[in-house]
Amino acid sequence: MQETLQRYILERHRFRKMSLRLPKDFSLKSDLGKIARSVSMMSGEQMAASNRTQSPILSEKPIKCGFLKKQKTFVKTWQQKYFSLIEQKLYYFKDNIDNKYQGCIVLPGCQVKEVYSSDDGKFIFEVTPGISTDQNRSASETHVLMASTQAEMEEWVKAIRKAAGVVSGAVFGRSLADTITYEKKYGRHSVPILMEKCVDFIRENGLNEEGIFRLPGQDNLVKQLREDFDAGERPSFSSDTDVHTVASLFKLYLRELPEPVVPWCQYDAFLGCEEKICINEDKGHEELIRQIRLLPKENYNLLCFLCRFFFEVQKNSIENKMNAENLAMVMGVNLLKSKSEEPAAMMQSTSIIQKLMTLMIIHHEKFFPKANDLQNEPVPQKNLQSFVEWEATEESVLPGVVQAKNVCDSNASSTSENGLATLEEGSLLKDDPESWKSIARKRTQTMPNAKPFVAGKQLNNIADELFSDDFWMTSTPSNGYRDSSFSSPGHKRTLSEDLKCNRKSTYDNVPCSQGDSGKSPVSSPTNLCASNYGVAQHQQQSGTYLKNCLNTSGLENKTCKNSATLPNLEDLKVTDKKDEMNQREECIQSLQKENKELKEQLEIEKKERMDLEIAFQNAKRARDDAENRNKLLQQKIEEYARAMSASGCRP
Amino acid sequence: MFDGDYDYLIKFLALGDSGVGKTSYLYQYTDGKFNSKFITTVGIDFREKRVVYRSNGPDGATGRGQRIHLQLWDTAGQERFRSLTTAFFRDAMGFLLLFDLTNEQSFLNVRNWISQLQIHAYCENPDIVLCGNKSDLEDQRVVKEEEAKQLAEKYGIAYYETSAVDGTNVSKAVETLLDLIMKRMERPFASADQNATGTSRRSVTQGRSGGPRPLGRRRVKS
Repeated sequence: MQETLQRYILERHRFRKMSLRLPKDFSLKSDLGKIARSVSMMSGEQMAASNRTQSPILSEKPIKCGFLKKQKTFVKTWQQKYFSLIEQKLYYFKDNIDNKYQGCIVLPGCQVKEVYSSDDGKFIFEVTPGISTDQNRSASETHVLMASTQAEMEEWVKAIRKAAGVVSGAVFGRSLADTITYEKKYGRHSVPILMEKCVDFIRENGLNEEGIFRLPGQDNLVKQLREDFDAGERPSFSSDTDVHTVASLFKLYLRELPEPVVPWCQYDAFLGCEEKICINEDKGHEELIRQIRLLPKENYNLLCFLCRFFFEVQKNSIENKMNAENLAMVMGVNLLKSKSEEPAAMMQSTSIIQKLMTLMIIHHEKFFPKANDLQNEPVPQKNLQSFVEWEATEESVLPGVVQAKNVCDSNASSTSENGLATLEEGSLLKDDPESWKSIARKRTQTMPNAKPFVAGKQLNNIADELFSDDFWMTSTPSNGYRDSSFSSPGHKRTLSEDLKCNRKSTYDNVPCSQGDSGKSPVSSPTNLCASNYGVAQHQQQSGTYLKNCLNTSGLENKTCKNSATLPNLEDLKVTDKKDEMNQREECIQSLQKENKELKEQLEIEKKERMDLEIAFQNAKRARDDAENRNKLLQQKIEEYARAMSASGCRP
Repeated sequence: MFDGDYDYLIKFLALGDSGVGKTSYLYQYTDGKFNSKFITTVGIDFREKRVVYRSNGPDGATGRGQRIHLQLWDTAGQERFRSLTTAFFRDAMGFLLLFDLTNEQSFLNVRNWISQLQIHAYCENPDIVLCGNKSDLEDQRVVKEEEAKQLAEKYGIAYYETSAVDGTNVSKAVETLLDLIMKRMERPFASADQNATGTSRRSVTQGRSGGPRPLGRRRVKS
């Protein structure tokens, strides 16, 4: 009896695997019985397959094995067992010699949860079968297991989750576009549900909380909430949850995004806006608006949502002490991130990010006009064919398979989005009033029509256009961040000074008795720190630029001198000759300069080309992968349809 | 501002959750003032102060005081800056670990900070002084002195209740930490601390011979 039951479960799983692309109205529950019956009439090959899984001769190499303590069901005592994780099942044995297993937990669909114990020495986690099987009582009970160390527990949980198909990072660490697409099945959401929930909670409970978004929550609680969300529980926060914990979770989500809300490719351009704003406020704002428009739809929606919310938060700054600058400080760095974690770069960019973020919060109506909301509505679903089919069955299906496919899908589509986005840039540059609208539409296409490489080339041109005005006044865009310390060549300043220029220092608003401590070239610890932390490397990078700057200014000086001395030379009658020579010299110099510039530009473009080529190859591979998978699944569906019709013929 | 003439360059680092008052604490220590503005530190900052240290060792021979140049590193508590601030841990010789007496979370997170220190500091048992800050807000206090003392005892570190507003125990905590560091340096090459001691001694000569040099790279594998 036990055997048949076990087989039944196995068969059900087999079937769930195959029902991946069932129509939306297909009711899994009512048809399950039919499927289960029909399985016995399936081809011999499949029967053989199910027979093999049924008798788990442990010839397969276990994914993970080792001793764990298992809590007994009725008497809550702990018993040492030897566990072995093979494929998608967790077997347990009396010890590591006995090869006859005492029990087996079928993992697919299981929930794995770490249990926080107040007792320091206990590292407990639970494995709960996800789908309760009425016929099999023992399968629905929760298995409580205990590891001897935190690390061991984490390893087991990770391994079991993987086997169960619950990819850790179901919410956290998933790309924004993916999450939005996935969450469509819960209704229309323009931003991830987690974001909405956090914001709702904070709006309700935390608007007057001092230091909201600045103060951290409790690490362990944040971790637990994160796990709950990842496990797909979408928990609602109980009213006694600390707002700071929710705010921490909120920030964590943003930091864990595989690509920040402002994508890597736009990071430099965003930072560039700040400088433009310094030079000409209106032009800078325009540029920022343009950059914001270039954001992928999901990213735009989230950034807009956040800025509007932060505006609400800072309205209460008398109570919560979080004015727009403060909020921008703590939140901006989670939204605008550079790829490099290099300390000096991070610190320099931080003040710029803060300024931009403050602007976007205060003037959210300007940068995120309400008029754009409508155009940004989710697009009709027919554009999203490839996803729709998945949504119908996702929940009941082996999550592992779905997620793998989803990841694949998103890879393909995100690259295509990038490709399109960059292509779009070209049209936007012409300030086409309609372009905004067309972007919103076009971005949702699922497969790339344009090859990313071609798009990338255009991006290059655009970058050149964007930076042509002040290309040599600032560091090159590929440098990763702007470095104001090099805009005044010849004047050596310490990092802290630079930072103090750029940002509102912590001590700026207080009478600073030691204000000049940083200037003392001998005892400037920031210099020291710089040399300690790879700033040297960065300086090398910018060093070329510095040299350029010096060269250029030198040239200018020379020309100045030349023109100044000209009148005197007129008296002598060699003016013409001198003039000519001067002109030639100038000509040569400017040509040399141009040459140098072009060479450097070439280098940059070469590097970018390489990067784009790699990206293109990756995208291609992802697409091929997706196509293969599609084919495979199509086959499965056909097989399934055949099986269905076969069972229909023989009732 | 300071001449390069001193005997020791000592680097301390203040750490703890965001908003516990690290910046205010250091400002109070170096300048004796309190700034009520609520501003987040960008990444990392520093303050400096000169003190004279007189060891009151068992021999009682205090001799001439040691001129100490204190460099106090102020870290951002923001999570985003973790990778940045932890990178600075290994260059500090002593740590001021702050929490907020009016904020239980910050107290609970002390454990995490200590484990971070054990991973990233120059050695596994660095000198730490635990400071329960904002002791002036007695009416809002949520962390009992007893609890904090117990925690400090568990880790074998000193504990002070400080206030950056009125300056209570601010200097005292730093002096305690300085004392610990000086004692550690005087220990005749205790095997575990050899690295730290070795470099510090070397730095002394550097200090005398002119400009201060970074005391970094204390992770020299011998």
